[in-house]
Amino acid sequence: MLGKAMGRSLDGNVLERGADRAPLGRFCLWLLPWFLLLGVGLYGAYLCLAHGLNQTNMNNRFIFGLWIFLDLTIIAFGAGAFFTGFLMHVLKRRELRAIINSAVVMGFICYSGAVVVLAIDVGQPLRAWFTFWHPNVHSMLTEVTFCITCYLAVLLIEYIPIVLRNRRLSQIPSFLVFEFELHKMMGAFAVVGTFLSFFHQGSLGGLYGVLQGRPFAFREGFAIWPSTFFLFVLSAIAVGPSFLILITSLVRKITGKRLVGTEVFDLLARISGWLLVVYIMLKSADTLVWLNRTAPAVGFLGYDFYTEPTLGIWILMAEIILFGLLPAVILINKRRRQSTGWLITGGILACIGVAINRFVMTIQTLALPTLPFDPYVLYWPSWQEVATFLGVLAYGVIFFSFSYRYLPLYPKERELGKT
Amino acid sequence: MLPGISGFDWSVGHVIFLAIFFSVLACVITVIAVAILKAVRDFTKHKAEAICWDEEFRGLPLSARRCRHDISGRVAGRTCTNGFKCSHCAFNDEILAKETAPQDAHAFGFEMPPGRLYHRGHAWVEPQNDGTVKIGLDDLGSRLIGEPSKVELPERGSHLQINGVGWRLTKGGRSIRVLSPVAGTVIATGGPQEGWYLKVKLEDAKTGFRHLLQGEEIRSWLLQEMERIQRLLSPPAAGISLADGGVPVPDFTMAYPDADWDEIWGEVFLES
Repeated sequence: MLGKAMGRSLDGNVLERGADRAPLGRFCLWLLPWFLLLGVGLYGAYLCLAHGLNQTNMNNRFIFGLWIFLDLTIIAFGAGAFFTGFLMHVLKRRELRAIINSAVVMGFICYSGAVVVLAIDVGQPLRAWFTFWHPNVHSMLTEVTFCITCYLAVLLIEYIPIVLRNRRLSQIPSFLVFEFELHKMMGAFAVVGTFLSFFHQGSLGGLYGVLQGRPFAFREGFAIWPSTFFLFVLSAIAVGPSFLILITSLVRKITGKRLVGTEVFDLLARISGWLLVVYIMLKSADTLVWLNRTAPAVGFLGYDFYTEPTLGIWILMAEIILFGLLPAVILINKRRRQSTGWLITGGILACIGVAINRFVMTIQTLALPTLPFDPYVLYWPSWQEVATFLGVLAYGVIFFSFSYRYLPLYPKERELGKT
Repeated sequence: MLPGISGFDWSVGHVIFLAIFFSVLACVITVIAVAILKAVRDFTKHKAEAICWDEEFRGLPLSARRCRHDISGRVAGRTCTNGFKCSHCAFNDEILAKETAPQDAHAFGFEMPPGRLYHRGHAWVEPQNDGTVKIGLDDLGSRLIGEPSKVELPERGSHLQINGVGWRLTKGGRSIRVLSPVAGTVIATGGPQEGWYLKVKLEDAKTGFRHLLQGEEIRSWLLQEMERIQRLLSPPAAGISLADGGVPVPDFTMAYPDADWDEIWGEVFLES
């Protein structure tokens, strides 16, 4: 009888019409290792919550470790969601409609993953509401907490219309009408999301820039905001589009399907490249001011920060030149970015560059001594920390896999599949 | 957080920070509340079906959204952006002002009786002498489905809207909805012996049938539909090859059991 129509896939009635998806069995096989990894991550998280942070290798010196590095990095990558929304709804770049749904899902995964890890890091999730009920308004972290939770709520609301476009759910008229009315208001959410994201990306950088007791991180700035506030915002919106390109290319590689047109990649790469150029220029200027004025003013020579070979001057050069300037040059060059190989190389380098920046700000800041009798200390995460990290990665893959299978993440996929 | 809570003070920083936070919260809650209220209003004002169709139309591939006058060769490269609401299309009025030739009873082997008008979702409309209309599934649509395992007709007294859900068929575990070509009240239904049909008392006779395909444009539309179906039936590597001669089989699904019928029905019956 009817082959595909009768359901080579048992969940055929829920799948997007015309979207060629793997049979359910193969999909489950794909998910199996990720669920196992998620299980290991949950066990690691359970140990940390049940027995306390002694399960980690963090201590009084390393109050931030792998988790905060992970948080800062994935929140920067997640900026692709708000920035794409801003470009599409506010600046009217309609061609980004082809990728906005996947950007929202990626943003939601990044932010929800970050909030979960923060809850484990804080250690007492049952008292998490204290931060809202008794906020310390003088702390940048309070701003970060408020903005991240608010923005996660906004992302959840932005995710609802995508869920309601599922084939089965969209057959329920009330869902479809609500989705229609909510969709019309997405511009308002894009503006709110941009506002929230701008502030928490900035505050994440700002909270390092204001550390006067850590000359490696401390920066001068404008009014109450240190330069790191602005550099974090800029680096996040520069790398967000690159991360979108990478994930979309990865999904394309795994599924073997064209998901978006080349013009979308080209636009994202161009935006990412030019923003990286601006970021690298400002970052270089900031580094020069810091090395020649800010650090010497508190008794440090620039070279003092780079005497240890493990985190020597090479990491500064790598961050600015190899993983900053080079991807910027690749992405602003039309011929280069039109080649898939160069495009992906540029995207990977840009993402690594921002990850290095977040690593430097979290780990290197704490590794360096600030007092004459302080030793240089290196930190390695415990297996529980690594497991939790991998658990978040697995959660992201599982969430995205389900979303890709059952929701219209790439509206042009069907059309492009026939060309 | 709020006055009276331990740690709160009336400092400028505290007030500004919390004012911004609550403004954002108020904005989010207001937007959701407005969306819910508007959705409720859409239902009470009977706009829901039209919205559902507009949403459906937005998700259709470009090939399914060609303007009827592009299909008939009167204009080139025109795509409909109006949800096939030709009654409200000035361009359509202008074109239909010209006389249309009577249609054939047969086109490409499909039965297309004279006097019938056609909706792009493969429903026919036959005006009756008493001012009512009969509506049913056209010959191509019937052959694409073959023998349905279930037919769900609306009950007598049900209200239909143009491009709303007319009736549903089930085949191979998949539900297929046929769009209603007219707006009105169902006053009678026909079973399998008479050929499935609905008899409808029109809501507004003045609206007329300008949104329906008629005359010579039916042949062009049928040709386009056959090309689309052939393209969907062809293996990806092969080009389109139209049959030369012969008559269409009564059940296409039996002739092409391995085709992705779910996708084909979606495209042909305008379901995204």
